Amino acid sequence: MILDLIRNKMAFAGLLFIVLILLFALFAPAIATNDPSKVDASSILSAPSRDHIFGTDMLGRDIFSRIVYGSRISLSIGFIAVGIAVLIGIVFGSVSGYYGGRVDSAMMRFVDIMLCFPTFFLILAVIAVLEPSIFNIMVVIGATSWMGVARLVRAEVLTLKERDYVAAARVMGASDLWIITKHLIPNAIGPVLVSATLGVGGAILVESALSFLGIGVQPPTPSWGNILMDGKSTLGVAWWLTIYPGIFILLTVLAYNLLGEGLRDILEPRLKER
Amino acid sequence: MSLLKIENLEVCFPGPDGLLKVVDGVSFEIAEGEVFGIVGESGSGKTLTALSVLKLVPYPGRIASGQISFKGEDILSMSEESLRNIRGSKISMVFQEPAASFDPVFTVGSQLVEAIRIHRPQANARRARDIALEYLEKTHIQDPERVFGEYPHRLSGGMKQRIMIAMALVNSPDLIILDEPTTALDVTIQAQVLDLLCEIREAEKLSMLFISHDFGVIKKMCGRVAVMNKGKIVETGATSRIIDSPKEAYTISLIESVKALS
Amino acid sequence: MNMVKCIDIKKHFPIRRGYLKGAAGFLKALDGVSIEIEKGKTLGLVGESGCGKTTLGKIILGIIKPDSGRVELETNKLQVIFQDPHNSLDPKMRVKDILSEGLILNKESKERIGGKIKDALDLVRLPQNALARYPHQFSGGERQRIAIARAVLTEPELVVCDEPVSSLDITIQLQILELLKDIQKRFSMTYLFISHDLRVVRHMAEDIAVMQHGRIVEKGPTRKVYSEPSHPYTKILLSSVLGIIK
Repeated sequence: MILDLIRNKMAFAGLLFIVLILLFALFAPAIATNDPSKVDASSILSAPSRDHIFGTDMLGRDIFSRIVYGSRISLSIGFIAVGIAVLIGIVFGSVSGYYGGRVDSAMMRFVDIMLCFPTFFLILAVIAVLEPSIFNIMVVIGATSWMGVARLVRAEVLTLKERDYVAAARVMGASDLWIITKHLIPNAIGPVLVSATLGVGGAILVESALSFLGIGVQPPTPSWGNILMDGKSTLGVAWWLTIYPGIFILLTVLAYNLLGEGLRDILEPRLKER
Repeated sequence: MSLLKIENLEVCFPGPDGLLKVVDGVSFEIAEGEVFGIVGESGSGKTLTALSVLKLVPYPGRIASGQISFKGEDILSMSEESLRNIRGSKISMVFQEPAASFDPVFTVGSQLVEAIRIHRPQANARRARDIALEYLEKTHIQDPERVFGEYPHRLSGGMKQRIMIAMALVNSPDLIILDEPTTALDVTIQAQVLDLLCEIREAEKLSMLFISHDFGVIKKMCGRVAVMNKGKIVETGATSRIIDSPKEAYTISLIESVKALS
Repeated sequence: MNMVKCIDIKKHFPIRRGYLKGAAGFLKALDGVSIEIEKGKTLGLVGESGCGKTTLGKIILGIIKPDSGRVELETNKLQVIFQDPHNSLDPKMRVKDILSEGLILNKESKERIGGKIKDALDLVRLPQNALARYPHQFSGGERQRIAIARAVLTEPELVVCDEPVSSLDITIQLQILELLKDIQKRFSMTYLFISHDLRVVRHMAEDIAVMQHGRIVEKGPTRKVYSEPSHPYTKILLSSVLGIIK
């Protein structure tokens, strides 16, 4: 599988960029050229230079360092929110698909209802009621984006449960829980992995949008979204405040999409043929 | 002159370690009016040999070398357009899975009419419909008028295969290639379909290339047979001779297994 | 003594036409079927597709419940071998995990499981290095051997073989049938052998039951049914078989 990934050039490029951002996040103190929250009155809104390769903001903070530290926030929100969504989706989808009948109908109608909410406004409303902490944002994004995974898993489980190896396990006395965890979920995980990878990009976008609106990650903690927001008012004089975080958001989301598409081609070759 | 002559056919597929020869130096001839069989186990290359005759080897496979001449014409050097004129008209084909051979969103009638009008654009809808009904009758479909308007999923496997055979016949071909035409059917239905094929062969003086894994079916249908194994023809000869006194080691073991289960 | 006795089993599946609508009719998969299998013997169950033979097998295994009728079993040690070895082995599991599943479910100790798995591989004549591999790395015949090893490991007394050789080449069919016979003798197991292929059933079964449209139309000792079939359907079925010896 890893070989296939290297062969798929676009997906591999995506993977490389994701690894780069991961390294940013892991080794932020070593990579950042400055303290991201150090206010420096002597270099307010200075253009990119040798000292500040991406320039500084209106408090004289180094943009490059803020982006490096911001990658921690963006990535962890992306991963954890999607992790929550995948977890809920797998449990919900596999139970619904496995038991079928009325259980399935009831659970899938609930999914339909969840899908009817305009998710972004739901998130806005919830964050407005709770306080906008990083933890709350992760949970809310996760709790409003699991429906796709649930439908995917349910559809897989519906066909997988008719396989003979499931019947064979049942003859040997396996419980429902055993069958779901040992046979159904491992075989349904391929498409979930693809959708999760695509989902990380989406979650990063939602976080950026929330922070941009000022109800996401709160200053002084840097996130790509709130760096972008800081740049909004000075766009005419200091383009670097907007362009650089924008480029990072764009490339990261693109990287996840490329990797996701690549994984789909590798894990589900039958889809590629169509 | 032979109707179909294949010489040294090689079909290759790219494998993990270079090209894989799936058909390896196959040669045989089919005379006018003859039913020639290819028997072999799964993966022996028999289906690919059949597909090669119409130059329909699926991507990424390709015909690497060899010659295929049909009525003296070289199939492999033909243009795609002249090939299309041969496919479904001079040479037609019946596949194993009747369910997969039909488009589920059209009635069988409209698919039969389509098959006719591709090769006879001058035939109007009325005429094409008459031809289709005539052939449905020839394949002993009861109530052809009703079946003409049915969707494929409403018909049984045996019915679908009869209609497939009708579709293969509508353009009066010289050669029909049958690739495991009865394998997906129940035994009693298989017996009926094989009887139908025998009858049609007598009536239309057709030549057939009959592919099967089942020696029983081959014995019923074919005068001569080629035994294939791992892409090569192991032995060719009269079917009764091969069954009674096989010469090659592979054929001997195959015949023994068949006899043990008879 | 009978290992299994099925008394007047009925199973109807509702045919639905569209969502939220009631049943438009019933497919009578089993319409009053009674069979018994003597301990240590093989009953061959033949019939064409859709006749209900697989449903009967699943009812005996307890995978589906009959609408009415009774299944009397002398044992609760059941096993099953299916037709399609692609479908009957979990593609995400190594052979080692496939084979140990039943034993883990029986709460056997780790050491004993290891030993038993090794013996089972020898029994079905697969090499020990098969353990670390996945099902897709094996041929159809080898996969069916793995399925047989899995079945034998739980020491079943009754094995339902549902078309166990139908998707295999004929030379492989013969090997698998011999293996099944061999194992049956060694562990004195009882088989319900389901097949559409009369040639295969004759090779395996002492007794035979012929099914059509959810009913048993004829049953008796195999030799007798083959030489003097009494029901017209059995006659048609037998005359449709294409042998190569006349």
